[in-house]
Amino acid sequence: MLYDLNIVGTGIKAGSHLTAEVRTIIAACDVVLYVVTDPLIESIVLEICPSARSLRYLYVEGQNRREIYDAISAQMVQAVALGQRTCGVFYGHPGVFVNPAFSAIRAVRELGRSARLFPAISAEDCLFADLEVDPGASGCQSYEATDFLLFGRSVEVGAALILWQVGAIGDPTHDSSGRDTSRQLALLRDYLRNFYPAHHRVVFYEAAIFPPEKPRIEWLNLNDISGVNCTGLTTLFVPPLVGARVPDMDMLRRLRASME
Amino acid sequence: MKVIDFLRDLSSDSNLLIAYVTDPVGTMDRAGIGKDDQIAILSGERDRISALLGGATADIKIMICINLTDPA
Repeated sequence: MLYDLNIVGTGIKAGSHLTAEVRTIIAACDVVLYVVTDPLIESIVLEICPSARSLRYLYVEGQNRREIYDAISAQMVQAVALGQRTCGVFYGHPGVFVNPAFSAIRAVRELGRSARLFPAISAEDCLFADLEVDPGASGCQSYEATDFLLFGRSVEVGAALILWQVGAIGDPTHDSSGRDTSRQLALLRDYLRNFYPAHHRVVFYEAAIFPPEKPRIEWLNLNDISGVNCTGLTTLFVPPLVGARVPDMDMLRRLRASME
Repeated sequence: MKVIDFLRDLSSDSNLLIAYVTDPVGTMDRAGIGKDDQIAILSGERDRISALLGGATADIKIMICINLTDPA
């Protein structure tokens, strides 16, 4: 079923992660607006819908990203308001770390129109596979890196920790210059040292985006992270501390009693 | 065949993917991919593959923004 606004994702690996459902929606909508990154996935979107339009031009160097995302959202809402069945296509999972998808859905519903967000493969899905991590095994915490520091998040060291966008810590602008992030990573290292030992092994991770590409999996000691090259795609994965999970024996007794 | 067309087919054509996994060089030869481009593809390195496509723009993959002046 199509909605007035259909928000879909391409998955992470160009083409390979594009679901049949998403292909159908892109082909069926009147207007397709996309925010994808590499020419390969762009060519796939255009192959499915030759009239699809890129919103890449809305990215202006140095501009606050929130303003850019508002403009992306506005384009989608405007198309719906004109009565066109609209599809917004985003890289990855459209509901994971995608501000404009949610703001567009809210705005469209305020107009009395229908909207739906469809699932896709996210970077987290790729991380679980590439690092062979089962989030059910020890639990898993997941934060945007700036949010993690700014709000002084506490850490459950017995569970895994995923920090997204470590290459954009503290930077609210669109900056494609590949700036030096060593000072921000040093802040992150110092904060994490409140919870983990200096030699705790962590991973810098980037999922593969091209079919023949290998993922980036770079292990190192927590103390050494400030010298690592990062982009907005880079994720820091912190495995749980071994032995940090201690069962609550009182709860164990109560659980057993509840089963009798 | 252009590299972008080859990679696009590789992502959607399971028969081509099977052929590539079994014999990457032979599959790329048959597709008319040049030797230098083959080396870049076989490297599995994003920057080299991206360069064949005109360069990716990883920066716009950041799609969430924490406003430092108004964290609420």
